[in-house]
Amino acid sequence: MITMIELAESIYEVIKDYRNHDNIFITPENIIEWAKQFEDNGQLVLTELNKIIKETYISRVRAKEFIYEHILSYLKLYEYSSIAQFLIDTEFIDVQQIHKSQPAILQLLEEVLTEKFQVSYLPYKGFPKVNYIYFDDILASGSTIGRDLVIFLNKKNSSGQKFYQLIQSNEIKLSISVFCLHTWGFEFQKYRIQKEFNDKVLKKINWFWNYEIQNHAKFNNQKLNIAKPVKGSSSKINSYLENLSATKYEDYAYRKANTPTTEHFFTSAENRIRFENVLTEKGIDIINMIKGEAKSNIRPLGLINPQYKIFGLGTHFFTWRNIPNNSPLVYWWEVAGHNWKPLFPVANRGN
Amino acid sequence: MKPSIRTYQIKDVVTFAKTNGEFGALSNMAAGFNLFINEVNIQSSEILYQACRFPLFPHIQEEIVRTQNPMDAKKVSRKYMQYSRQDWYSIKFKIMKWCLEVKLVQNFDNFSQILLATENKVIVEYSTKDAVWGAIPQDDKTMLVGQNALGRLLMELRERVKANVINKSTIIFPPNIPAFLLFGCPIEEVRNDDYFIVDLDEIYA
Repeated sequence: MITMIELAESIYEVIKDYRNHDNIFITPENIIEWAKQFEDNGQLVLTELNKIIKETYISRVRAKEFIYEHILSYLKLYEYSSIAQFLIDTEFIDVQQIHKSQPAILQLLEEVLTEKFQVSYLPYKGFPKVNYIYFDDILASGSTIGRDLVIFLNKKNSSGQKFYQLIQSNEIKLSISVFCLHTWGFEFQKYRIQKEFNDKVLKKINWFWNYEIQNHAKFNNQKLNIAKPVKGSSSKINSYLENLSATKYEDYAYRKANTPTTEHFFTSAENRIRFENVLTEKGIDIINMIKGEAKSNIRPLGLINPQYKIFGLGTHFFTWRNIPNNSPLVYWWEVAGHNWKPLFPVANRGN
Repeated sequence: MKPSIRTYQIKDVVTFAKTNGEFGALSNMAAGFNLFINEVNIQSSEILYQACRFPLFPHIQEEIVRTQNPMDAKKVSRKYMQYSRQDWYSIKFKIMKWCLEVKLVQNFDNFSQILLATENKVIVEYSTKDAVWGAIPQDDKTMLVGQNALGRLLMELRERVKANVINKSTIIFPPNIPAFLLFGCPIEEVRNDDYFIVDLDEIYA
C-alpha cells in the first residue's frame, strides 16, 4: 500500500504551482494535514485524489499549452496564414471583473503570443473586428458565460445592428474557448441561446474546450467524472437532501448505482462510493458549522442554484489560480472559527 | 387510435408540405421549435418522435439526436428499423400527440399563433407518398385522400388551445406506455421553456 506521505508527495508534484503568484505554496505536509481531517478515510481520500489529480489539475504551464492549442485551432478554423492578420481581426472579449478568470487567461494569452509568435495582441485592440473570442477557465452551471453571451449578442454596432444578427449574416464570428466544460450545464446554456435568440445563432457559435466533465445524468453513456453519492445507507446524506427546500432537478441529486458503466475516473467503483460519501458527509459537517442560516446556494458538493435540489455539481477541476466554487466544499471552504482547513485556499471570489 | 381514411377538397383545407410554406411551421421538420427533454436539447419534434422509436437502444437515440437535422434523423431511424420498439405501430399516434404537445408548450407563442391562424379550417399534411400521416393528391389534383393523422392531431390540439385546456403553463405528462425512455431514463413531466431558463443566473442569489 502506498503511504499517505507518498500520496501527498505525488499530489504535491502536480499541484505545487497553485497560487504561487499570490505567495501561496502548498506543501506535502499541508496535504497530509488536510487529509487527516477525514480521520480514518484520509488514506482513501488521498488515494482517490492522487488518481484523478493529473487529469483534473491545470497548472500554469498546462494552461498556456491549452491556450496555444486554441490559437492554432482558430488560425485553422478561420483560415489565417498570418498571426498578425488574425490579431488585427480578432477581439478577445474582456468583460469579467479583474479578480475573475478571464483577465488572468488573457494575460497568459499575451505570454503565449509573445513566446510562440513573438507578437502581442494589445497593439491591435483598436482595429475593427470580425472575430470575437470569449476565454474562460470553466463552464460549470454556465451562468457566467451564459449571462455574458446574452449581453454580447444583444450589443449593437454603430449601425444599430445587434451582434446576434451580425453572426447570423456571417459578418462576425463568435467563439467560446474554455479549458473545461460540463455537459449538463452546456445543454442549459445552448437551450437558453436558442430561446433568447434562435437556433441559427447557436449553430454559428463555435465552442472549443480541452477537458469535458460528463455529468449529464440523463444523457447517454456519461463518464461521470465528478463526485456525487449513490442513494444508500447514509442517513446523514439522505436527510440532508430531504430537508432542502429546493424543488428542481431532484432526480439529478444521486448518482445511479450502475453509472458510469465502467469506472475509469476513480481507482474502483467501490472506492468511488466511499470517496463520494466521505466528501458529501464532510461537506454537510462544514455547512453545519455555519452560524445562523446557510446561504441557499451552498451545498456539500459545491455552490449551485438555490432552487436545485441536489448536493452540488461535485466538480473536480482545479487550476493554478483558483478552484471553481462548484467543487466540493472540503477543497476550498475556509472560514475563520470553522474547524476546517482547505486543500486549496481560494482567492477572492468576488461574490 | 387508427384513423380512418378521409377525402379532402384541397380548396377547402389548410395544407402544409414543406417547412417554408405559409403553414410550414406545422410540420415536425420545421426549424425554430427546439425542445428540451430530460434537459437534453432536441432540435425538432421530428427528431424527438424518431428517438422515441428506440427506447431500449440509447446509442441509436444518441445518433438520432446528434444529427440536429430531421431529414438526417429519419435516415438514421430507417437504418435501424429492425430495432424499433415492438409495439411501435400501436403507440405511434399516442407518441406523436405527445410530441406535438411538447412542441406547443415549449414554443407556445409561435406555435399557438400558427395553429390559431388556421382558424376553423381542416388541416391536412399534403404528401405525395404518406397516406397515414398525411393525404395524397388524386389524379384530378382537387382532392387529397389519406388518414391524415398528423393533420387531425394538430386540429385536436388547436381546439384545446382555443378552449385554454392547454396553455403555456401546462405540464405535459408522458403517454401511458411502458418503457418511455430517453437514454435509459424515463421521460416524465415536460415543462415550458421558462422553467429551465428563468433561474440560470441565480447561483449567487
